[in-house]
Amino acid sequence: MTGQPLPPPDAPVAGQGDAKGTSPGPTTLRPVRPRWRETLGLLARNPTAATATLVLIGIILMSVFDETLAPQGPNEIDVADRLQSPSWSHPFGTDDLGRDILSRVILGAGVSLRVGFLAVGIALVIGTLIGLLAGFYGRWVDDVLMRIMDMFFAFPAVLLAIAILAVRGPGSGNTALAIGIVYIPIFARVTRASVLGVREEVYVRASRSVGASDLRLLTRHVLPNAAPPIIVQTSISLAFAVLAEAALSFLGLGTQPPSPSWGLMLAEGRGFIDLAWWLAFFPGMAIFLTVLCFNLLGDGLRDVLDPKQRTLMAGGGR
Amino acid sequence: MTAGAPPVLEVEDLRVRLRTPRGPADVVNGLSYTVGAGETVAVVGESGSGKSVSVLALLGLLPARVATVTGRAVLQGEDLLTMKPERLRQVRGPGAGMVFQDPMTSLNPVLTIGRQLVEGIRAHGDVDKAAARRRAAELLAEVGLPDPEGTLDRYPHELSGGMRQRVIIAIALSNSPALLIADEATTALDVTVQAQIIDLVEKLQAERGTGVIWITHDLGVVAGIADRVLVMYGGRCVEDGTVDDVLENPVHPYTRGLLGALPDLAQPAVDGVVPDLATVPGVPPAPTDLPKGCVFWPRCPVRGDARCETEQPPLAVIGSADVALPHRAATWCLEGTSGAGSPEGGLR
Amino acid sequence: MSGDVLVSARGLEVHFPIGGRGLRGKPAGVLRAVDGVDLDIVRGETLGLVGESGCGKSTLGNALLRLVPTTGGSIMYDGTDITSLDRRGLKEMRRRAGMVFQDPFASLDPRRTVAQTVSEPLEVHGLRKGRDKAARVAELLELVGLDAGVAGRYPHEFSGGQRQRVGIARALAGEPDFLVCDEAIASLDVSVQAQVLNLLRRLQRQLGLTLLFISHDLSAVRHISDRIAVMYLGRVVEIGPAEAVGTDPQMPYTQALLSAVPLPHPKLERERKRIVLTGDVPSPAAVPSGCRFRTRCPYVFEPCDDVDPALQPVGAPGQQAACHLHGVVGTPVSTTPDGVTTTP
Repeated sequence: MTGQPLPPPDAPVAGQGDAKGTSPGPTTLRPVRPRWRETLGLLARNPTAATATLVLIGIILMSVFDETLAPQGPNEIDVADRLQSPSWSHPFGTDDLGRDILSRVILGAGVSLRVGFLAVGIALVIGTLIGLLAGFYGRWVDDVLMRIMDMFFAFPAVLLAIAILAVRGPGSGNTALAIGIVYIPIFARVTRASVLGVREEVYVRASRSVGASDLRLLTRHVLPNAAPPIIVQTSISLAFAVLAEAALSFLGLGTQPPSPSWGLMLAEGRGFIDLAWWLAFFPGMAIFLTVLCFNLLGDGLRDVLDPKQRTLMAGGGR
Repeated sequence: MTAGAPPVLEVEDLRVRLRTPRGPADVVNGLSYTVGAGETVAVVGESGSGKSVSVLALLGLLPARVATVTGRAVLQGEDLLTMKPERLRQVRGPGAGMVFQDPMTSLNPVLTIGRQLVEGIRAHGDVDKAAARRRAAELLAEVGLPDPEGTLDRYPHELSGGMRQRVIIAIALSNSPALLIADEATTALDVTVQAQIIDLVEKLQAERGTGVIWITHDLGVVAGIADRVLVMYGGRCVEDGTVDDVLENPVHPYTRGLLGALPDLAQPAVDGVVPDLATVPGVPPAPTDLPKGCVFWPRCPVRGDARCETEQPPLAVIGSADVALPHRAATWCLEGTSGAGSPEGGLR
Repeated sequence: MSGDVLVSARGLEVHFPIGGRGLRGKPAGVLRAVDGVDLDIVRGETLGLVGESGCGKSTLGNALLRLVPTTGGSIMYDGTDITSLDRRGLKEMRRRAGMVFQDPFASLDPRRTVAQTVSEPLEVHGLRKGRDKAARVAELLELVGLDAGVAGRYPHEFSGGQRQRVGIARALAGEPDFLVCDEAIASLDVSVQAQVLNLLRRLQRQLGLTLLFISHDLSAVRHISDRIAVMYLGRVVEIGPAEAVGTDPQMPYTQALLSAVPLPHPKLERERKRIVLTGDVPSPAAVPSGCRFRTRCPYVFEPCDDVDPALQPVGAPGQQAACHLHGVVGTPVSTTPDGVTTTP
């Protein structure tokens, strides 16, 4: 919430001045509160989503300050300390090269999240644009764009990602690109479905009736009102993107060693599962926690952004 | 009520409180009335007056999680409000049928009309399928649907709004209920179809002696259909009496305001100029935030008494109390005397 | 009819294809929402347009502002045919004509403040900027009886009547000459309906607006209108001065419609003879040949099957009705080679 201007605390109720019973003006109105703030307020009242949000903020902060937080460098090899079980000096233990797992998990957060955000960012921008145009204009625009999306969808996602990585070569940038392309149709579909509902709204027709252009309708009315499911999808896709990055790295197609990616660590730890469980366990837990929190946040947002829920919870107009 | 026959429904001091995020909402605050056999009671009010909630509460159709209902509602000798849910379900069909505003959402879109009717008939009576189907066809014929046999096999979307509302009425009547509750049953219909439906209900009522509660905001419909009228505002009955008393000689400032606000087809122009409508300023109060004194006080153009602001006026008899249906109003601002007649059934 | 005609429709048609739309598929049928309407709206008058649901009155209102595509006929707006306007002409036309919608809960964007909604026409047409814009919004809000202080609030904070006032303020922002009110009071409570009706009447007088008041509520239409047009199945079947149409209707459909309006007078209601029409309005996808009211008309006689009646002067001055009871005038039904009867 930093950096956002705060609205004035409970502004005086308007319309009281003329409420002598003769004016049709408002009698009691709640103070103005921007929608985003209302959303945050509602989210805070949902304990699961609030916890998930706090954990995610923690993970993001951790990835920002990873260099300071990590007790050791990610690739500091200490052969004498190989395969140490968790202890005070190495809370998560060490791997087969004696590298500190805690440090690698902390530093891996940045890699995983960067790939996740980049991938979802690509899918969000392109998919939303496609869905917006297809849903708003309908007819042949819809037919053409959505048939192309169907073709993407028909392809198994992992296969498509593998193909893209095979052409462009492995690495975290290309992993993000591959995951992003795979997710475009998801965003296109979600956006289109939402836009189909919104474009029939009377307020869109009302805006057209005063002469608003298509661009204005799309940017001022359709997109903002179609946004809630897209926001929810973003959160859920972030979870899947983190998982996909891990999977691709696990397969050796994503982040390349010795970068400390969670998926890669999981793959490396697989061989030592009987001998040293902590090698796979801690990166696995990190993936699990991140994915779970993005999913819980998505669910919470879905509840909060649903207009019906909103009315029920905030007690809006009846 | 006329002496002799006991009333079909007797409601006493009905109160409904709903839990809302903005705090408790007193949606119905002490409503008492009776419905006699063959009688039509119209409950009139604007949105938020509590008119619909009051009947939903009678039939146990409000979610128990948020609604607290108190009072008494005796339908044919049994109190609906203390009834066990299973018994209430049994009573709903044969005891009280219900017709809602929107004929499309009251019907299940994926089942044929026949299935839905037969289901209702068999749920409350021990009849075999063929007999139930015959009865269903008879009912559709009774409510004036052409080709009843064919209609049984059709789906709701294949019928027009008026035909669907007839089907709903057929379902509501399928178990010959003693009481029919119509909640804005003709509001979504065109006037010509509305006239057909009203004629139909009146005809069936005359044949079967059904008591009818007709909930509406349309005072025109009330004038045509009702024997007695109950005007609701802010969850209270502010005026009741025979339809002639209430509509021809309204005494409550709210009833007067409501009637004055209606554009009148019968007598609009004065010297070729149509005067502006009288309006009731402001909007109805929220049930979470009812005024302390008279519920209508904040919008009232009269405010002729010191007690308006502080004290809730009781329903008091206007004129003669020695009639079957005394004319009553809850206001401090009666013409001439303040608080004429003896307060009867005060609401505190 | 005298006076300066502002809006004039001639042979106006709005037909919608119905049924599946394949790649090359032809539509399964045609829904004739508006089917040959001739209508003149005089500058400065309030014309009431009544009819039952599905009669095409809303579609006609939308078509007059080109919010639905027309499939035939012409609409002259102040001397210009607006059915063939280019983008810029259309935009200017939409500044000069406003619309008030039925549902005040649906017609305001929930994510935009009152000020943003009301100022949209000002921005779209580049009419006011900056401080001028805010001042104009305040002026508009006060014009419709709202406190200018509510500009920063969101629609969900208002009651239905207040929202409808916001909708009216938006429609007036571009200083239009013509306002279409499409069932503008239908969703409001009775006491609030009266407030909005009075407001519309005041605005009409104060701003010299030309008003098309579309409603199924005959009492309200009778109250607000100078003239009334009655629609049935996509056609205007009777039109005339409000007084004449309201008290001495010449078309059997108008008579039935008027007789079905419930009046809040118990004594009058008991004595009144109601003309109860049988059946429902036919689907606009299957319009009867000849007179379109003949399937429900109590006076149906021979020419009704064969001749599509045209509006002809009957009753009071300026009153017209499309009915053969006043003499058979109209277009004979032609039979196409495959035996299907159509009315051209």
